[in-house]
Amino acid sequence: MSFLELKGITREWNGQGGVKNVSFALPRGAFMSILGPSGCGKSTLLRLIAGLEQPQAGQIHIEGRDVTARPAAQRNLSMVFQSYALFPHLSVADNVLFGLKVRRIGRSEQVRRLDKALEMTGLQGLEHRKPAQLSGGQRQRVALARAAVAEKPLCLMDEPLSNLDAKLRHSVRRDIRALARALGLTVVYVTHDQGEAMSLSDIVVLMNAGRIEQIGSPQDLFQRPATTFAAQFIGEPPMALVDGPGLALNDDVIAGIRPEAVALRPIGAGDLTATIKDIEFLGSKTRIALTHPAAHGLAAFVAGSTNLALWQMVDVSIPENDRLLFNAQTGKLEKEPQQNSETRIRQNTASGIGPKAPFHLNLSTKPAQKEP
Amino acid sequence: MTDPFTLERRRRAIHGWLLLSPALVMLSVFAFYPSFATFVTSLWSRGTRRRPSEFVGFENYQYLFEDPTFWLVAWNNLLYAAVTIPISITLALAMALWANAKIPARSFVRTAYFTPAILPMIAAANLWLFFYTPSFGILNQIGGLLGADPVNWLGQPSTALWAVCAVTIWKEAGFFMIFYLAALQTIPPDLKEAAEIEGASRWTYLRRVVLPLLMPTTLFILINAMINSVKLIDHLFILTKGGPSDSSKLILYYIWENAFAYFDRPTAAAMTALMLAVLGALAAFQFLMLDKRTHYR
Repeated sequence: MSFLELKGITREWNGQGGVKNVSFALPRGAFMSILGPSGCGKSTLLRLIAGLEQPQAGQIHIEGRDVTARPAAQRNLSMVFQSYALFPHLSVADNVLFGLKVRRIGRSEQVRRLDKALEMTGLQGLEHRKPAQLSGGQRQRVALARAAVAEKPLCLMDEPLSNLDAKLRHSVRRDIRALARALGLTVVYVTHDQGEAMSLSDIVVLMNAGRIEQIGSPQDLFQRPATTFAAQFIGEPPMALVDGPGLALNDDVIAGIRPEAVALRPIGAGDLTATIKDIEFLGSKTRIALTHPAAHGLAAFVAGSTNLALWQMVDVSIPENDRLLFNAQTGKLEKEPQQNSETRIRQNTASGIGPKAPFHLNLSTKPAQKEP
Repeated sequence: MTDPFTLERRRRAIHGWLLLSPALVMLSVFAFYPSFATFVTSLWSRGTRRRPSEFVGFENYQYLFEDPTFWLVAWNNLLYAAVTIPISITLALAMALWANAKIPARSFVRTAYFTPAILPMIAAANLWLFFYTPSFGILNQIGGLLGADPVNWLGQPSTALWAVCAVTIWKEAGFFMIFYLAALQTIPPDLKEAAEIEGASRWTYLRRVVLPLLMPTTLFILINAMINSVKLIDHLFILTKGGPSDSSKLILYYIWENAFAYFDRPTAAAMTALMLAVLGALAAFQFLMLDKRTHYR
């Protein structure tokens, strides 16, 4: 029996934005990320689960109960807001205890839970500070402690790390994971950062324009993107897409290739002849961005540094075994890469838990990575 | 003299005084000097052509304390403040909460509430004079429809002060509402959502989150309302002229009467000095005591 289940949830504003016909199920204790570009409806979806928005169609079940019509307080969940939503006039302790006081939970129980939550989040000694006297990371921890102290089985997190700097983001990320494990929480985590989604979660829901593009384990999303949108969203840099004719294939397919599999060759020895557009030195390797009329987002990695020059022509080989083939019309995956050892041993945690929503995406349509 | 350090210090000092001078000059001319002059005047006797004024110390204050009208006026003013301040603040808050909610015709509601505040005092008082007019005033006409006897609201000692209070509340509540409305809009909506998820009812959210966050505004309004309550004079000119038999007379009106109707400037000055002292003490109390318990963002 799944712990959290959404059935055909739709919420739109004047026929646009929001989410359309979203369904998925989540087992107890799972860590699920909702990933997608800005404006794809991922925060709306979270607010629908929280009960801060009402769906126009569909049902939400938590622990087998239909909670669609119930207010947020009766859904037995906690939530961490992007802005933290700390009460500025209350001390850290009062912020954390707000919900317990509202629910009139006994004083000794309050103290016990507060101590535990402060210890888990490393906030001891800051009990009497006001939020304004805390750093961003500490405020984030207070928000986490407030969610932890409620001891609800389901915790919703709305981009909790987006206001932190990169270094802090990594350490709080680990804390979130540890906290979720220690408390046995089922977590729904909204993020636009694929690194967070991939590293934290058991299941990733990739959304685009209000619909689910793909549901699966992080490995699934990385290795078997269901659509060209998924292919161009996941990975840093994401998968390159090459029109079929460019690789002597039919024109009704698009080939996808991970930059890790692309190799540079001398002129005449590869599959495509491309121009070097950009060279990025990354330390242990160098990323080469390439342009070719038939390719989109083509890139390759070279170990160490390189003496290649900008605008130089090089050949690239795109190994047939590493190619994914997408339907040029529908954008859906048609053929998986072959002989990819990792694919065979991939964790099969999330297969078949939800429909893979169809989505039409042409190569010419750039994925909406950022809102203008 | 030529030491560069000394020169720099002097330059900074001159700079500082120059920056300070506009405010200092204005305040001195229009606030400090008049207050001081008032106090000095209050220590001298009333001069006539035959008897020039002479220094009498605190004699004027002594006469004032023996004057039953002064005590009546002070009591009236206290009642007036005790009624109008809490009611207008509560009303303002209630109206702001309502006008801040998602209601139809929200800007119309806001404008309607604010209209009394933009009417000139005299116009507002005249308007209410029509309402209060005996027999054919609106209040009595409505009362008449319901079978009540006509009441001369402004003409009898038992109702005159309350009638004046009602006008003030009507006028001030809309004005204070704007401050509350502005403060309410600075409260991020996700605080409400966070409280909602924690299971807080609307009332709990109001009491434990909204009201504390509105405290700085409340303090500001409180001080303003207090100052306004001793500043009220124009309503009285139109509505009651302090009557009947001083029942609606407030302190500023009494000061005006003493100074410009009875030409007893020293008594008026003594009352003014007392009023300033009381107001100063109140403001100091509010800022020192309530400030500590107020959360400023």
